[in-house]
Amino acid sequence: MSTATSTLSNNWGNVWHKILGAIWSSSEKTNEPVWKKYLDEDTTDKKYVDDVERVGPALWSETEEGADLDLGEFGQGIVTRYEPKKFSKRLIIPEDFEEDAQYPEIYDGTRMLQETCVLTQEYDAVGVLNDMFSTTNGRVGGDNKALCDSAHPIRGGGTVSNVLPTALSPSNTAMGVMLVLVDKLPNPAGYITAGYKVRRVVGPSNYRFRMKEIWKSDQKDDTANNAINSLKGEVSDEYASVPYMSSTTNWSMRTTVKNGAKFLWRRKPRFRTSSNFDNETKSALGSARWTTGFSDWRSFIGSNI
Amino acid sequence: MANLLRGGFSPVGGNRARPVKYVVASGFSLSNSCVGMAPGDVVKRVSDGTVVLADSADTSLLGVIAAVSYLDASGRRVYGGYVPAGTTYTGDADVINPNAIYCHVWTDLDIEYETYLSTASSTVLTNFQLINNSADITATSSTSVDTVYKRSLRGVIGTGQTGAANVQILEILRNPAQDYASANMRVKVRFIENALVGV
Repeated sequence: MSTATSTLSNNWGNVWHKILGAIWSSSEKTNEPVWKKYLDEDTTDKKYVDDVERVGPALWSETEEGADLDLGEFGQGIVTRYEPKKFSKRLIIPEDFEEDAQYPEIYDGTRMLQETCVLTQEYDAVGVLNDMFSTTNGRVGGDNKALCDSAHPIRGGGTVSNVLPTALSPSNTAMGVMLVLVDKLPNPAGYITAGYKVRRVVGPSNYRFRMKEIWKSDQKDDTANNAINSLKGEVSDEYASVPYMSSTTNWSMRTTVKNGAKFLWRRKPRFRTSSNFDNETKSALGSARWTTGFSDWRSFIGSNI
Repeated sequence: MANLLRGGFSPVGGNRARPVKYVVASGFSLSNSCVGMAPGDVVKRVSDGTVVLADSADTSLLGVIAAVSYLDASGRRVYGGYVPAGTTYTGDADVINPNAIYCHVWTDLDIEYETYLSTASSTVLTNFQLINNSADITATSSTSVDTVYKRSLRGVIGTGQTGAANVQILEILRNPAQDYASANMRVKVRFIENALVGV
């Protein structure tokens, strides 16, 4: 049994008296987590799971009548393993503190834990974006490449890029270049399928207003020739403004790929409270199990500037 | 329009008898810094009965690898992958040793394989004149095994005028994605009769 408590020593003497006005906190997060805008949410009931890419057969061959048909082949591609981690925190609050405090918000351990639980998710999830162009922190896919790389291997020996060949800041031109890149993205067998579409643009909050100008203007952004804004209506979802990103310049497009970048729950957050009779304290604790990662790197096309 | 590179030999036609189980020597090494033995690669049989990757100059081949399996460092048998060069095991190099590296090989002469032709003329007619001509298998190298997709990346090269001439080009596959005037064309090949023999 721990005898430590979670209240800061002697720091509460001036708040539990009866003239307290209001309580505020450094975190007032009540909105839906930002990560839901750029990661797919999924769940598993297993300790770990493997996502496996299936590489389909080649195109059909022209065949003479009556001749044996050519045999095709398909096989296993890259494999991505997800093993959820456990995140947790507990608070120990003296019952004396509860007795003296004017408002229950002060000692509401579960509420404090709920707030930081969401923040923990945000800071963990944003690692997918922060490490989007880098393998330094070991956040790699089944092909041992970063999420956005200029040379993702595909079966057979070729490579495919999902970064802009020349990094560009957000502009009407840059968006057009990236949209075309997505149109021409090859599938695991190396064939262009025209099946990948852009769902939304993702980047730091620094671009929040710039993106609105680019995508929402009636006429082409930053020109004086009265051209129409051909980007308008091309992407269905609003810009995902991510304040947690370490880069203030990198941006990307998230595609409609299934099994792309994901937030995988093993167990959603669970909160508990209990009383400790030995020292007359109350414990509040929370824990959850999740992991983040990506299976199909085609879920993002990035510009690393 | 360039051709999509897709390495390795895949059976597409002919009489496909079941692959035959062979063993690979413990601690085997490969020439040209090749990193392993993978499905779709070409092997030869050496005098002690084990198999090893064939190279472009070899004229006595055994066949094409259908599958491999081996024990990893933790003693678990790995299926569906490639055998890294230098993999060792205890015991004799025979198929009844449970620790051995197994290599299942298509040895049937009638099998037709699809692979790629690594060089080609920019003239379509010249390329179609290769049909029924002979060619060489490409050399092993540090990149001739795809370690991500666990597959050989070897194909065929040349026109049979020089070299080992160990395969015959039966057909240039006619599919809508083929560029008949560029490298990496899909071709159907067969190993020539006197190539598929043991050493």
